[in-house]
Amino acid sequence: MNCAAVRDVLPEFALGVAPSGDANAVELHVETCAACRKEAVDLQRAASSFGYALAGDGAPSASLEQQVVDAVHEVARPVKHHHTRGRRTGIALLVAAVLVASVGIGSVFAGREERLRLQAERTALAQQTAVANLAAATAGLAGANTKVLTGVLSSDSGAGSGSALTILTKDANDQMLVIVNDLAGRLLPLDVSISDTKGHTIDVGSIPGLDTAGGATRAWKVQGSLDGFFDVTIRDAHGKVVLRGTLQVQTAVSSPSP
Amino acid sequence: MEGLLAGDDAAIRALYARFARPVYTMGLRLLGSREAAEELTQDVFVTAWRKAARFDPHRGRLSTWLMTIAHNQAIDRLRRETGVTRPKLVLVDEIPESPQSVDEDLLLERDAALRAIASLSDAERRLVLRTYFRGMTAREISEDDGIPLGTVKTRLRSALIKVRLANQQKELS
Repeated sequence: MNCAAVRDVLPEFALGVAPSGDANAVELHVETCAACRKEAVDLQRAASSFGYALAGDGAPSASLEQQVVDAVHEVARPVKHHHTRGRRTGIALLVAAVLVASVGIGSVFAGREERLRLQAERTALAQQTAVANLAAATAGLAGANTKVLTGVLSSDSGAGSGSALTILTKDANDQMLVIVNDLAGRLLPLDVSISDTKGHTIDVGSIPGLDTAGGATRAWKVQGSLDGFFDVTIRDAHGKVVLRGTLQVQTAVSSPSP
Repeated sequence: MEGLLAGDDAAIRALYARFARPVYTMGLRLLGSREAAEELTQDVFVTAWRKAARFDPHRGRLSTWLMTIAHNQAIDRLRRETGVTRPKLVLVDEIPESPQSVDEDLLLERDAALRAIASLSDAERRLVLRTYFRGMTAREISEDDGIPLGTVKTRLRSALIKVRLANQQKELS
């Protein structure tokens, strides 16, 4: 989509009603076109005036604030409550989670479910970026006592994507993080497992819920060693595989991000 | 935002104090129930946490970023619902003039927004509101009103540019 075509769609895009294909094309374009990006941001700001015009017309219940705080903590919880060394790992996981969860989405243009249904080319780029970001985020962890594996998760049907990471430690105090996107409509909970080449499988944990964009971030501390386990599988409540992928030991770090 | 990234309690609460009300009221008007508006508000803050690392203050204001997330999520929900459950068209003149116990910053934002919207003609205002609050596309409006698609798009652009100019003039003054 060239600048003229993007400008044609921008008013609808700013108002949140552009057809999903057009919205995706606009997001791709504005990542690299500063002029159109500025126009898009300006129009979005104008559009947000309509939202602010309602401000003050009603108030949420007093309990909502705590619910919001709890909900954010719920997303972050698996990586927040570790002591000393575990805490350091947890913080890295948290950073990695944020980086990967946000991959591929325009900086300013976030939130629409349709837009998260990335086109194939965009998904590929996002997944490359995800791995690079994961690697960058965890670079400081991979040392003499720690090994980090990362990998992308994909769907045979093309719908949905994700990333996974394991951190292996000498004391077998291993951790795993999984991030999924665009899985709205799947029968929950989603079960995460990881297998080795000999057919042994560890049921790591489950993803009980997804946000409105079909995404989730979960991390687990595994009772035991994940050494030798590379193949990640995520199944829905029917046992149907929704995402799978293979982890690789983190090596060089590169960033294809613009 | 760094506090939000870290899941810091105070940062989340500060962000909530600043933006929960406009997000909630937008949800209330678009989705038509307190429950749906509160669900939306919760989802918006979780989404903001998930995407916080990608927020670039040089590319836009935090308020615009959050309201865009909120609006897009609300429109997504609206589109999933049937036409029966769509709320009625909301007009600016339905907005109460004396909101109760609202913080001053929010009132300033609201007044600035109302002044900007006042720069539109009635026809322009209704056109934009049908997209923003009902999620109608330019094509749907074109078909409903029997006017060319290009004309609808041109009018939407013109209306948003007027609001943008009003916002800019307010900042300069």
